[in-house]
Amino acid sequence: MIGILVVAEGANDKSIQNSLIKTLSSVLQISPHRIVIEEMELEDK
Amino acid sequence: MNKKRSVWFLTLFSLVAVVTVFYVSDRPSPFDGIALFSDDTIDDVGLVETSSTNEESFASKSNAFEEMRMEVTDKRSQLRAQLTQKVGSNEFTAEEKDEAYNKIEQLVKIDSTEAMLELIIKSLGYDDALVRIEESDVMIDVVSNEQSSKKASEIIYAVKREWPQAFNVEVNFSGQ
Repeated sequence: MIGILVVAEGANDKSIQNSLIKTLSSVLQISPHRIVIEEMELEDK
Repeated sequence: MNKKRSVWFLTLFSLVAVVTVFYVSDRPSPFDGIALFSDDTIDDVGLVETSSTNEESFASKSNAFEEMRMEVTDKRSQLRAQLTQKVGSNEFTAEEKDEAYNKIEQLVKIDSTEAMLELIIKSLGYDDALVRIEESDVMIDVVSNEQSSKKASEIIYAVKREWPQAFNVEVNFSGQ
């Protein structure tokens, strides 16, 4: 496993990004700098 | 009998007269009961927006801290990956590996101390705090309206108790 890309709806909030990275890095045993979080843009808005 | 009838007639006539006068003059009454239920009143009622600018700026300030925190974690995790690789490879001498291992240990310690200090500073009554430790330098950012040397020294005291090798402690109050 080289890295992870996460696209999430609420990811424009930095604190959510941070907690996602923390959770994923501990659950998947991967370094935090290998996780990228991007915001999912909703179409109908 | 006739007199009684004329009295009744007069009473009724005067009543009709009064009502007619009221109708004709058609004064706008101060209380308009029907108008309460018409659609026009909806426009009259201005919706007052109670946006609290304070909350927003707190959130954004917190977001800035969060971004910095992520930057720091990223840098550290890269460094840690490098050091772990160094410890695991055969190209380095035992001393170099030992040094790398010590550095990893130091990183873990710094991480936990920063988290601990942030909790302690928050418990002193601040909304958010960012602590960055680099060797003997400790940089602290705190969300607060007012800044005073008393508050700063309170924070510095807490830092020195937790991280004794902190020689250079810098406290920065960022209000909204």
